[in-house]
Amino acid sequence: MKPADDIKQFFKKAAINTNSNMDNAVLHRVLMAQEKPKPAVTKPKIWRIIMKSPITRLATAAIVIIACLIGLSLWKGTESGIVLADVLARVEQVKAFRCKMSLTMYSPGKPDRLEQHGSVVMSREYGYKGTIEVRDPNGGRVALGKRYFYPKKKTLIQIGHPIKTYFRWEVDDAEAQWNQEFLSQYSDPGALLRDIVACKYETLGRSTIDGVEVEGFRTTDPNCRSSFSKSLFKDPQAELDVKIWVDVKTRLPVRCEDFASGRDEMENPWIVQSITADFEWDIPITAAEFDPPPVPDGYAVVNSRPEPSDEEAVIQGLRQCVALFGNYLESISDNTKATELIFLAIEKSETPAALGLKKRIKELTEDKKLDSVRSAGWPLRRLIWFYVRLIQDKKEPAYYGKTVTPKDADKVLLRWKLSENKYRVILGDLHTETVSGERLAELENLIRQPRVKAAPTAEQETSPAVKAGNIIWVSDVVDQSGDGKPDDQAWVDMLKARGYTVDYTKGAAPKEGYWRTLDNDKVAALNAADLIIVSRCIGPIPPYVKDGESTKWNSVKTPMILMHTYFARRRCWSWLDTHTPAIGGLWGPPGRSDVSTLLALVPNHPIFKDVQLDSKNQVKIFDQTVGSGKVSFNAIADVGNGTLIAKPSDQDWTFIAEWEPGSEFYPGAGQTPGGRRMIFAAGTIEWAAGGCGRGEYNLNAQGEKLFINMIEYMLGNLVQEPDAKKKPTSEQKLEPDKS
Amino acid sequence: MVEDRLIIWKFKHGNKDALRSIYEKYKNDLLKLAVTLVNDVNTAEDVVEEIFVAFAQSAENIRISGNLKKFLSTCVANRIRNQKRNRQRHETLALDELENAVCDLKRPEQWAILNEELELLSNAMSQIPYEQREVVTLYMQSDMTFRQIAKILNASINTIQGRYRYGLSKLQSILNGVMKNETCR
Repeated sequence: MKPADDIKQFFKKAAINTNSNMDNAVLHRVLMAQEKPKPAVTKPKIWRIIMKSPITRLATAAIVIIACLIGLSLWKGTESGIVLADVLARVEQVKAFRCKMSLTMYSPGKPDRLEQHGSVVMSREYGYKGTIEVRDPNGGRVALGKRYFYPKKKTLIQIGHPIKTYFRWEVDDAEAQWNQEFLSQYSDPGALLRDIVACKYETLGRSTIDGVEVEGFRTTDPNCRSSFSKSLFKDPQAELDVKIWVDVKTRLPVRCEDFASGRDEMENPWIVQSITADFEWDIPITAAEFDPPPVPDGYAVVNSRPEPSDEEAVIQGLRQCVALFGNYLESISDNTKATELIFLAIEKSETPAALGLKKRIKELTEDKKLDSVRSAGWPLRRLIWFYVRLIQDKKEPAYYGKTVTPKDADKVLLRWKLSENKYRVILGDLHTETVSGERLAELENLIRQPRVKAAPTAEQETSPAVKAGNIIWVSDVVDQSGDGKPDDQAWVDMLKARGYTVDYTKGAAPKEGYWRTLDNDKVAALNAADLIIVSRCIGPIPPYVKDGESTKWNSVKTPMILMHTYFARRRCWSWLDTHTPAIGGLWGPPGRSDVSTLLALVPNHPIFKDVQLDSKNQVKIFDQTVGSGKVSFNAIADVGNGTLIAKPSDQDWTFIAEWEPGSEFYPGAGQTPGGRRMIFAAGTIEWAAGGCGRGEYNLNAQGEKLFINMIEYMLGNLVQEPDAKKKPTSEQKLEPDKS
Repeated sequence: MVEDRLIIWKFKHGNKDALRSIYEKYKNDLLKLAVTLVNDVNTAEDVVEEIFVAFAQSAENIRISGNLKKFLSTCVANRIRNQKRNRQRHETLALDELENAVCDLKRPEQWAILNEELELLSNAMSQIPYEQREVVTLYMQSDMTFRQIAKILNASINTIQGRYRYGLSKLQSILNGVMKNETCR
């Protein structure tokens, strides 16, 4: 027999079988995928790839020239001579226009259908004004409201007819920009044209609309209108069909048709169709036409950004929190969250107010539902804006909704400074007082546990009472996900938002972390910090390990939290007597990690303060939709001279462990911690092929609480109970690691 | 082949049973191919699952006329090549260290179960260069011609045949002892 035949025989004998449980699980995921639209592909950062390699640079130069030549032929336009870029240029020259719009939105198979009609006037000089009407069930249309936006004055006016309210408020730069973009996306054919021109499109030839000779253009490129669809759908639209008809003579749009379908957060399918027509281009506009509209008779006027003196509105907002949530909101510093919070209340809360609201909106049409929800959320919005304004005005605000309840009549819920040594306080039962600085300190001391300092929250950033730690965040500042920012940036942002000072020093070049290769100055800086956190966003590891680097790192006296579990291995920093990294699926596509549940082996450890452990002392701490959805662990549960604080619920691996200074990490390690050490397996595993970053922020709310507790504990602000640091109970006792 | 075309036609029309049939029919072949190419069960499992998921989402782009086994095999080979390239670009550890680490892993539950011959074959294959391994595997296991392999690897037929000869020769010498033992049994 020939050698090839022998080997062919061997190939035939080699066989594989599959585990039926896993088989069913994989098949289920595959069948689910058949139902879902294809996820958006992360666009590679082409320019960065090009600039890295001189050879690629040259090759690309040639391609760019070819592309330009092809481009030239594209820009020559259609047979009629119409070039979309030319149309866009003309639209951008127009000073003002008027048009009519209609929008239909429905979920196939469901009775509710949102139909809106409106007219819009846009002026580059004065701003935007528009009216909205909805279908009247009794026939015809009924006016829903009016909206005016003045970009120069940064002012928004909205008249809501169903609720007879006249809203007027000033917006900051970010809100002004957002409004401008939002209104453009919906109403400005210039935005639509820019989107079409950036995509692959085709010509539809000549036609006639209302006696006007037009030429059509069409795109079905799903990337088109992506920013528009993001505001509507969870994922990019599954289907898109955009057409624009241009007057052959004037080269200006006559009609735009936009069709998109996709799914919302609840996986419901939605179809959105909009038509913009009846354009009147370059119409003369006077300033008087954009005068603020008068307040209609009987309408309540609401300045939605209350002044700090508007205390009653704030108390009303706090009351509404209790009514809807049963307690105060944990945070009121994010003014983008108000509507989201109301929806959350409707979904999850079972307070009488929430149940009543649910019941009320059940029978309503979609647009009325939205009105009703907005209306219920209004007091919350005012509360949040009030607090944001206090921060902006540097009134030293602090908010303690996390710990103070409506029953705490003697605890400060919210406070701000009125003048020197004079503070206004709203207490837990919502009565108010004006107090001195000394009295405030006494009241605020009641909030804190006798030995426990609360972690600083974003709200307390300006509070002098809370000492924030100086943290060195050790990272290679890698952007493996290719989204233009370091993969672990969100960790640092979160810590900064909570008032910590974070040193996030970058290296000379990407992927060359500043902290690689320690010299005396760097060691001194590490020793001067309050806490060091070693990020998962590091790679390769050898620069931190070779030539005595491990000993230098281990000798640092500052407490350290290590999130990059590879460092803990025997041949690296020797915290654990293992070489095996254990994985919730080491490397590969997302969605295969089964490790998300943490089992607390020392549940009374301070790091679990206020963390919601279940009856089995378990808690899920990861958001597995982030990045690869996976985390690296060390496949060992024997932590030598340290204490294993938590492990994955179904694996004998290290999740959280700590070591006190002075003793070897494990007998024979040859490495001794110079200060307190803690390992915490967190931050995503990279998966380059899928555009998933290295060490991305992947904690859910419980995980974040746990992480902040860890930081406070390592900073010495949360104190260990004398009996807290006990070894696992007999039921939780672990088998020695067999790997 | 006709059966395949019927299944694909049904699959393109959203039929779940068709997709289930395709999965049942080809999963073992694809897992075996992937294991032979990467010598790591976990990675092979991930790749094959990914391929099926991508396939499930691409009904519109699948042509009825093609050979499904060769199409899916090509997808597996391409995916592994891309991952290998990406891994080299972004590796955290030296590749050999990473592969050792992967081999030591215990997953909560393993999908693919290899017989002894496949373990031996996979280990032997891991000792020959990847380019040769790819050609030998696609030729021996996926019933592809040299011309087809040359096309998907964007290389000349001569190059492919050369890789095959060298690969086979090395594989033969590695497996020599094993095969002798087999004969003696």
